[in-house]
Amino acid sequence: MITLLATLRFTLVSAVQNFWRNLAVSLAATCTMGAILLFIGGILLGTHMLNQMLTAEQAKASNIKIYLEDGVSLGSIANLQSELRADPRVSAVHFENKDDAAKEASSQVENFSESLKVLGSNPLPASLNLDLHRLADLPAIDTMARRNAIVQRGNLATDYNPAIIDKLQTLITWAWRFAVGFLIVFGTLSVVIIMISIRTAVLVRRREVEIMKLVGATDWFVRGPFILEGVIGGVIAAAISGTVIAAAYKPAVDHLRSTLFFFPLSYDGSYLAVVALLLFAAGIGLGAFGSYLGVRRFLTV
Amino acid sequence: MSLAAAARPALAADPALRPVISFHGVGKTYPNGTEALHDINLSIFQQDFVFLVGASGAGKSSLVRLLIREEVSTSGRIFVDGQELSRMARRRLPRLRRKFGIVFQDYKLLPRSTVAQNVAFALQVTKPGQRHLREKVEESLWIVGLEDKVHKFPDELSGGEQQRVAIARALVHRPPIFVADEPTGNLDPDTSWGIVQLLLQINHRGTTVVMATHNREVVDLVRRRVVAIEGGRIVRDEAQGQYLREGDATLVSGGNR
Repeated sequence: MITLLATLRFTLVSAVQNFWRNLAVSLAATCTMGAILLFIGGILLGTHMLNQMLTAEQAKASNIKIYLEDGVSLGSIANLQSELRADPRVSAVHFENKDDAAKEASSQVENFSESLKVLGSNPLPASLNLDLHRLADLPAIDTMARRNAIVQRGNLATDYNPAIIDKLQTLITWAWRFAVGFLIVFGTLSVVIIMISIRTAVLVRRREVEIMKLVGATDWFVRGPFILEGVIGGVIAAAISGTVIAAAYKPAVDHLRSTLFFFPLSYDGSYLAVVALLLFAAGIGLGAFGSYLGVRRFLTV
Repeated sequence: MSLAAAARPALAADPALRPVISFHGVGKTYPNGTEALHDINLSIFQQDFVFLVGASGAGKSSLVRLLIREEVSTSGRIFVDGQELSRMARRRLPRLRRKFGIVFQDYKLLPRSTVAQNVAFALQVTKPGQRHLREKVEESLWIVGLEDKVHKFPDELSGGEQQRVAIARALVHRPPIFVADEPTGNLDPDTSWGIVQLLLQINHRGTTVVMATHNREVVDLVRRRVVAIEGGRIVRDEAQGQYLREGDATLVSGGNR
């Protein structure tokens, strides 16, 4: 127990002492790590905002109108409505009769009311308006609806437009691929840069490592202070980058809201907390892992 | 078998007096193809004081590096205190190294630590939580005559004093074997003589001492066992004070310890 406590004390004192004694090199490694964590944090928040925009766009596009034949009974409409409500892919079903359809068309198309008067009757069909959970379920729901006898035939069956939906889906898929690829590339690059900076910090103290090995210190005893020093650097880097990100997030959201007013962006405090935690975990992990790799080559003495 | 080992068959037969260090047909070839040592056979007994002599590049330092397992032999077997080094797992190296006190020509001191901190370092990393640390450090510094320099930094000391600090650090955990690789290489003759006197004193306290050197004057004056290496081979192994000067047919006889 005494030995363990003394080892911990030695590790802690050595780590702090080494960090302080080699302040310039330690700060260079910490700043590099801080800049990279800041960048990663920025990417995480950026992808979150992108996610908010894409989710809103998907929600907007994830609906379908199923047009009904004129003169079908209310009972058969109710049956189809119940059947659709029970479908797990469907989040809401709303019945729109011919009069509602005409009102909506009047609000969207100029002089529509006059056109109706000229025609003498309402040609617009009643419909069941469905909201879906996922954009990808639209084709299957469209196919299913077309098989029902009370639904209109041919091109008039639904308002589903595969060309537009496919384009939107391709855009979403590529946006996500780009974001994930960006994170992987810069994440890997960060580990390499951090490892090189920590290795430089360790290189400065190779004599100390050499002496420790020659007097009979175990590998873990040698590694301990270096790894802890890496962790200290990682925590400082995470604290700095987390503070900058927290301070910049709200103004960034406000600015984007005023610029991209057609996208529903919002400030997400809980996600910011998750990002902060991730930055601390990444700082600790990168610092420890970078130091572990950095000191490894000097342990072969 | 070496001449020195052959000179005491009765001791070798006694299990309690087996060699603390033995090399059996040891060779070392570096990855670049340089053959540093070839068929080395050598036995060193407890409380021996052995000089390893030879010109620069003869193989002395390679032999020392094999002994402390800084390098691994490419052939043959090396035993230290009954343990074979070439088969030793890496995790057991720290325990092996604690059997040695090691000093080098370049002192290998921590420049930003004081004399006392440099000496204490060896105990802190090998025996954390060691009781009476300060007393042990002071005792080591007293042995090397630096008890009044505890708070000095290495760059405030002369070369000889720095080497004494390195010796104090090597001694502080009371190792049974003391290995010195060219400890007087950077020192003037007077200072060198002081360092050798110190090593003799350490040997007198019961520690086995192996000293690699090319300082002929020191070897001639001390008259202890001399192992001469040339081109990676042992060319001479003269027991206790019988050392043949190179290019001289006269055998210089010395007294026993």
